[in-house]
Formats: sequence, C-alpha cells, structure tokens
Amino acid sequence: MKNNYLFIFGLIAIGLTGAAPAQAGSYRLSVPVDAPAKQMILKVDDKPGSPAAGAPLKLDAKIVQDAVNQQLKNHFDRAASPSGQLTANAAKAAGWGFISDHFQEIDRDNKGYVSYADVSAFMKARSPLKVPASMAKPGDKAVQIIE
Amino acid sequence: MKLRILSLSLLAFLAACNDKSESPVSDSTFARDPSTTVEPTSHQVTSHADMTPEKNLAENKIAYDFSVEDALEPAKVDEMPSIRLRQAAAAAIVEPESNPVPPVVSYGDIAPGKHPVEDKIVYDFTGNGALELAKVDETPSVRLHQMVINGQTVNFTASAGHLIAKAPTGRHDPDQAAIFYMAYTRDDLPHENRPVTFFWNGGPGSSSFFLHMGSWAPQRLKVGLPVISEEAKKEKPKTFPLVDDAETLLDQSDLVFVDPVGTGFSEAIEPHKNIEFWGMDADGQVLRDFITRYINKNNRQNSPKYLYGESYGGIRTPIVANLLVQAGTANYQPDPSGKKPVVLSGVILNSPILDYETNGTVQSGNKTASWAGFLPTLAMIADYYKKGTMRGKATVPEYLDILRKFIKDKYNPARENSAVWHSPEFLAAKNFPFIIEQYFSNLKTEISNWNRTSKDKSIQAKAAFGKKLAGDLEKKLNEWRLGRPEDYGSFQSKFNKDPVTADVGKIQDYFNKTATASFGKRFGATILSDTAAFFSDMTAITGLAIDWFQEFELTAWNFEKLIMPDSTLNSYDARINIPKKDGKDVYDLTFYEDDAFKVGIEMILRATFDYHSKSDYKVSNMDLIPDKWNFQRDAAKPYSRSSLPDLAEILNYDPSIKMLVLHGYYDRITPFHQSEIDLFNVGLADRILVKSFEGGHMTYESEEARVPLKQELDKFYGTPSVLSLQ
Repeated sequence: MKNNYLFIFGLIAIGLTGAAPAQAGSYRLSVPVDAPAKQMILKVDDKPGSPAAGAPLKLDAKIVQDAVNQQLKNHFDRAASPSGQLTANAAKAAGWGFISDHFQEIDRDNKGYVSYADVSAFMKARSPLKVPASMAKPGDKAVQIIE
Repeated sequence: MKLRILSLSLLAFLAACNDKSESPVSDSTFARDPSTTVEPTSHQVTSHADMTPEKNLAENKIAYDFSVEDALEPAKVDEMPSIRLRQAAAAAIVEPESNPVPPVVSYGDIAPGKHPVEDKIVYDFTGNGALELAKVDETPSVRLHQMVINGQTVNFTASAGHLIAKAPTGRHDPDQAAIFYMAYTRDDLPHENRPVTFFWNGGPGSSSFFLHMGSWAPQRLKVGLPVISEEAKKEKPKTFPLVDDAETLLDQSDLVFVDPVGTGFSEAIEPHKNIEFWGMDADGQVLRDFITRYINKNNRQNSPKYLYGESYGGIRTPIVANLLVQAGTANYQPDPSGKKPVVLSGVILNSPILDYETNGTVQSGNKTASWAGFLPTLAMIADYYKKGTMRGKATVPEYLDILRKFIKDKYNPARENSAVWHSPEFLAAKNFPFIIEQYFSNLKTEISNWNRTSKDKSIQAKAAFGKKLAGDLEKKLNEWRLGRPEDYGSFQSKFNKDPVTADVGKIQDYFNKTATASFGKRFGATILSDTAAFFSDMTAITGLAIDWFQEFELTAWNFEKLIMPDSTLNSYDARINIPKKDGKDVYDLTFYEDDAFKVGIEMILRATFDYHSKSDYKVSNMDLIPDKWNFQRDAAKPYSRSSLPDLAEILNYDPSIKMLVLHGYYDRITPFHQSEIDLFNVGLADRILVKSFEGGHMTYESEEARVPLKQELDKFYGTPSVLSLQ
C-alpha cells in the first residue's frame, strides 16, 4: 500500500507546478512543493493513531539549548587536538574566530590552550539578556503564549 | 517642501534611450510631464538620469531661475565639486515652493569616482551555472548622488558589482561564487561609527529586489497599499511611481542589497555550480563569505554590522548571523585603522518564517500543525473587511491581547483536549477531501482528453492509475465508516465512466456532511461542554458562520476563499482585493507588484548604479530554486528546517546582539503570532521583540506602516547594544 501511495505522490508532484490547488502554488516564501504532498500521502497511508513517519521535532527551550550545547561541543571537537586542548591559533585555523578573539578571557590561567570546560564556562557566564526597556514600546508586556 | 515623483515608465523610457551614448533626455521631460505628481516630503534625491554635466546644468538654468550659475558653472566643477554640489542642492531646497518640481541635477558625471560598468557576461541561473574565475571583475560601478534627509544634504555613493565569496582557508577551490550586490554608502563618514546593513529577500530563489525597490533605499517604488488603483483592478500594474524615500534608512546605515546564488547576477564560480549553494546551510555559508569579502574589500572591519532578511530570510539570516558570530574576526584582513573590529551588531527579520514545522501555510498537508499562529491574522483580516464582530471598540493592541488570550484559554485547550479534533482518525479523514481535490486538479490538467479513447500509453497508464486510485479512495471511505455507503458507493463506477466529471465536489460534500454527522455521534460526549460558546467566539473572530465542528482547524487557505468569496485576495497582504469577474480571478494577485518591481530594478541598475548588463537581472528564480533547495540542515543538527536554534546560538555566543522581528497584520503567509509562538516556545520571547504593523508581508509597501516602521528601526539602530543597557 505504501508503495502505491508513494507512486501517487510522484504523479501528483509532476503536475503540481501549475495545476495544483491553492495549497501548492508558487510563493515568494516557497513551500517546498513536494513536502506537503508527501506528508499528506504518508499520513493517509499511515494507520490512524500511528505518528507520521519522520515526524518533525517540535522545538522547545530545552531541545534548543541542548542543540546549542551540542553544536558547541562538536565545534570544539573539530577544532581541538585529540587530547582536548585548543590553542588560539588552532581555533582561528578552524575558522572559529570567536574563540581566538576571546582567547585571553577564556584561558583564565594563561595556559596557552583551553579545554572544553573552559569554553563552556565562558559561554555560560554570558547568560542571555532581556530586551532593554529602551527598545520595548511603553506598555509592551511579555505575552504569555501557551502552545 | 515639495517632492518630485518620477513616473517609472518615464524613467524606464529614459533608461532605454540613454543607453551609454549621449543622452537625448532633457530636464523638461520631467518637469512638464502631466503625470508627474507632487507630494510633501522632507527631502529629495537628485537625478539619476545619465546626462552629460553640460547638458544637465544648462537645463537647470533654463528650468529654474535661481542664481546658482556660479556654483553650476561647468568650468569650475573640476576644482571643488563637492562644495558646489551642496550649493546647488541648497538652492534647490529653498526654491521649490515657487518651482513645483525640483531641479534635476546629475552629480554622477561631475563628481570624482564615477565608474560605469558594462557587464557582458551572460549569466547562467540554472543549477549548473558556473562562471570562469577569470571573468569575474570585483571592480564595482560607482555613481555619486546627493539627497536631503530631514533637511540635511547628504552625499552618497551607489555602487554595484560582484565580490567573490571565498571560502575560509584550507578549502579546495575557495572561490565559490560571484555574489552581486548593490550598495548605497556614505563614503564621507568614518567607518568606525557608520553601520552597514546587508539586505536579502527570501524565497528561496528571490533576488533582493523586493526589499531594494520597496523598503528603505534612497528611492523606492510607491506601491501605495492598501489602495489599489482602478487600472490595477483590471490589469496587473506594470509601473509604480519612483519616489524619493522619506523614510530611507540611509540616515542610519549604509545599505547593501545582496543577491544569493542564482538570482540577480550572482553565479557560482567553476568548478562549483549554482546548485551547490541551494540549501539552508550552504546558502548561509556562501553569504557569510560574501560579507567577509565585502568587509575586507571596503575596510568595514570596525563598522557596526546589521543583517536585514525577509520571509525565507527568517531562516537564512539567523544562519548567516550565527556563522558570522562564530567566525569572529578569523577571516578579517588587518584593519589599517587599528580600531576595534565589530563582528555583528543586530539582526532584523521582516516577516520571517522561523520554523517550517510550525507554519501552517507550508504545513498544509500536515494536519497536525496548529493554526493558532494564524488566528489573530485571520481576525485582523476579518476586522478589516468588517466581518468580524469580536473586536468591538478595542484598539488593535487591545484586540490582539484578547485574541492571544482566546488562543491560550480556549483555542489550544479545545484543540489539544478534544478527542474529536485531535484524533488521528479525524485528522486523517479530514485530509481525505484535500487529497481528492489535489489529485483531481492535477488529473484534469494532465489528461483533459481522458474520456476519449487515447492511444497514448502514458495517458492510458494515468487512466488506469486513476481508476485504481478511485477504488482505493472508496475503500478508505469504507474503512473509516464515514457516511452511508449509498452516498459514495457509486463513486468508483462514476469515476470509471468519466473521471473528469466524476464530480469531486459531490464526493466532498458527502464527506463533509457525513463526516460531521458520523463523528458527532461517535465523539459527541467528549466535546467540551461549552462548545457552542466556543464556536460562536470563533465566528465572531473570523466573521465566518461556518460549521466549526468540521472547520475547526480552519486553514488560512479556506479562510481566504470564505471571507470574501466574490473577491480575489492577495496572500501577502490580504487587504489587497479585486472583485472577481464572472466568478473568476481577474489576474493572479499573488505577485501584485513584481512586474513593476522588475522594471524598476532594471531601471535603477542603469540610471542609479551605472551598471549596464547584457543579462536580465534575475529578479526571481523561484520556478527552479525551491524545487532544488535542500530544506534540511546539516546532518549533525538535531533539528531541521528551523532557524530558532541559530537564534539561540547567536545569543549564546554574543548576548549583546540586538534582534528585532517585524510583521504585518494582514500577512497570511508568515503570520505575526506564529513568530510570537515560535519564539516563546524556545524561550526567546523575552529576548527578541516582535513588532507588528498595518501592513502585509512586504510590510513597507503599506503607506501607513512606513513611518512607524522607520521609528522602530531608528530606535533599534539607536540602541548601542543590548549589553550596554543592562
């Protein structure tokens, strides 16, 4: 059954460009044309109750923060030596100029290299800030949105 | 103070007839044209027409009888051109009350630094496009101009050309792409305190022409929304007036309009191909490398830097910003001034999409996506057409708060707690007529001669497949036990007889009625007790007295058809509407302004930038690029099709970076509340402001939105940094 529907998707996709109903037109903000059709077809084919294949990740603050941390770790691992030491020059050579630019601040002990823990501690110290009052309109208030 | 508005068609004509050689154009062409309109403003931009100085100055003397002969004496111009220019402009400012049309003075020819470019390259905008490196010349065209902003005379340079986006060291074939840009810069100001802002549109696949022609450049095309002229109701506009931009951002920043690969005149460099840069991350990297090149070439290391992206730019801009912040100054060349470099100061997102997984418009096939983010936009549209009754006497901000509260207290619980609306079975069933509609729409177009006997094997195959599909659909109806078999049981036999006229509408009607009844019986007891009140609220908000049981997850698409059934509505600013003729759209309103914008950009390329290209400027490559675009992020990233993690990452690296999101109330492609929800959900609502205005997707095309938008931008640029205010 699944194969058939995928085949349907193929046929539909061929004709989509000019002929599709409003949902699939050509937009300035482009809809990835095949994506809705694909999801739709898969959805119908899925047994009711089972999640759609490849269901998108619904982002929340924790997932995003984890992703940010993971990216930092990945970046460090790519740039650092196998023993986990990163020099300013190595950071710069890896295109990670942020680290070489702030190297003195990160390398508090003047070791000449930094560890992931050093970088992580430096980043954590730069905690996110609120919007300053001067940028908000008078009367603006945080909007509670539950989604 | 008066402002000259040049008719775009006139200028297009000028551009056409002044091509390189001696221009036959005279000043009186502007001055005496009856279509020329005059409006109050605070400044004026000097002419961009390509005139010789002698001719131009002579014309001025004739047209305007004020005593600036000394200043305008051509023989003296070479000595101190800039002073003389100011004098000329000052005279022009004083005089206009008695001369309704200010003088046309061309500075491009008499000031130093003029450099016309004749670009003979024929650009290839296909996926295979790949320029020879030897053909790329990084010398821009240069043309000097002058305008008065808020009473202050300002000289500025218009320059256009390519820069090579060079990959950071260590990569093979580092010369990736020749990126085309058009810049307005105030070269008389020290770089240290002078911001530079990089603009791009979205798509993906659009050049920067919407922002360039519509938003904050020294001149703009006045679309005049929400007003539609009588002519525009009959035919898509081919011109808009080119006006001096009273709200130009040039007072705050230098402006650089950037065209991503495969748009404008931007193309990959061999052995790279355009298609390599058609993906979320690859696009971001090549634009980062362009910006780095721009900074180094123009010695802007110590300038404050801003990015301004629109629409898909909501994905593109945070990705570029994130890459820039991480790269720091690693790829900066040494700054001779020795001043402290600035990597990034601020990010502005105009009508962004931040997450493809939450935006209902692009999730049209995914019925699990909530439309909560759209409801306030639909409410504002309903209110605009005086169909909604919920607002009452509330101001817009008050009304929006009411709507946000409704969504939080009523809409979301109804959606999430109801076994009916949230049941996968129901969602799948609701998907069904949509599939039928889409399938038949394609079928009808593809095989109009279906009911004739065809010897064409591909048509036979499609016919056979269509029959099979009809059978499958019927089985589904049975499986879901929707409605009475006698209502749809004959569907397959009808379809087999004549699929084109099998009457999809009827099968959808069956579905709509029977599904409602059937689900009502099965799930009625679990519906919220105050369903009736909820439904009546939904009607008051949307102005639609429809069966909310069936339409609960009202899609913006349906809304557009229902709210003004006798009109065609523009998706990007739903206030734009044209009455249908004989039930049909008069023309496709989706791209209301793009024809005129295309004419406009071609004109200013020649007249303002002195850039004369053999190729047409590729305003849009959206027939091709979105299909080829890699909408996935790099594999290492645990998320896809979203820039929200990038925004968080930028702030993790540099909490001082300013961020601003701008929206229009009537944009139902990227609705403002969706951005509010998206930012809230990832914990960024306190950090990134969302400001909405009386406009649509291209918010700046709305006349009444321009001054408030500019005020917001002034405040944004005027705030030194978030960190400095803590």
